[in-house]
Amino acid sequence: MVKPTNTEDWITQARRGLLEMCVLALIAERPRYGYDLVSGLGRWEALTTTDGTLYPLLRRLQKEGHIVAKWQESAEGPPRKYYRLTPKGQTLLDRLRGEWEKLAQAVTQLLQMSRANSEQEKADE
Amino acid sequence: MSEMSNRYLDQLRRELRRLPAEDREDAVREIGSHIADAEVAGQPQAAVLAKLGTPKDLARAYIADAYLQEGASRRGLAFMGVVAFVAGSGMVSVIVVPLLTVTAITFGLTAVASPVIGVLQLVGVISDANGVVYWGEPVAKVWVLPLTLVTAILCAAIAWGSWRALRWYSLRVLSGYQRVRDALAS
Repeated sequence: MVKPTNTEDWITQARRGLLEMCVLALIAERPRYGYDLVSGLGRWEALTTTDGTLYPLLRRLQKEGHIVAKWQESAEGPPRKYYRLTPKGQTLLDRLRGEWEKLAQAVTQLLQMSRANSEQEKADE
Repeated sequence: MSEMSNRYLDQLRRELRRLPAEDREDAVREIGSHIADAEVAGQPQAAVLAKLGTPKDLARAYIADAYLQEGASRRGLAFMGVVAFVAGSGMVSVIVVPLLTVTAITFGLTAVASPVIGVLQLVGVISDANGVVYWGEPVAKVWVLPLTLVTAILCAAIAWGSWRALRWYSLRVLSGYQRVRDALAS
């Protein structure tokens, strides 16, 4: 595996893992096509991905059977590839969501505690 | 679609040649659809292509994800193959490479030395009580030069053969490593 060497790399690595969950969550709302997902993620600056990461990820999720795709005509241009969640994908999303919520809560608490403790230390000195 | 986009898609198609044809066309078509959608949304073409990354990087991401998804067992087997190749070629090289190198150098030097020694013997710089001795047998002076020349040619042929074999072997091993590297790095 690639070892994060600086902040930039660390963020890229962390985001890559979460991107999969976010993409599944967006597709769970309604069938989505690639550009729709890009704009969906782009609403949050922290989640903005290089589009080059998204499409290979979609292909993998499709091959794994978490999403299914269907080409549909578009009024504005060439046909679009729409993705829908499969029951298997829904299960994965539920599991990832559960894990993420536990993880996020734990990390937030840990960081708060660590900050409070280090401020306490400073005050004691 | 613009010239620039078409060129991008053509290049992507080439870079994706390792994927099955159906998957490749699907991917190229989807990226084309993305470019068209971004264009409708009013994004400058160059920015859209830049956000996709170079065709090479994008293709690499596709192929890497395809590799991840092949499943642990297949990857495990592939990796065992890699280990076997590296270990096997390493063990063979330990014997083959020094052997061929030593053979090439020894016979190469002999090929050069043989006529020189022959001439020195004829001139009398190197002399022996029995006259000129070749391969343990005394020989007439007329035969000295032809004999040393034949020896030189034989030695040169062996040296050249070993050298070629060493070259061939090294290239084979290198291209083997290259293939392994491509398979792992893609």
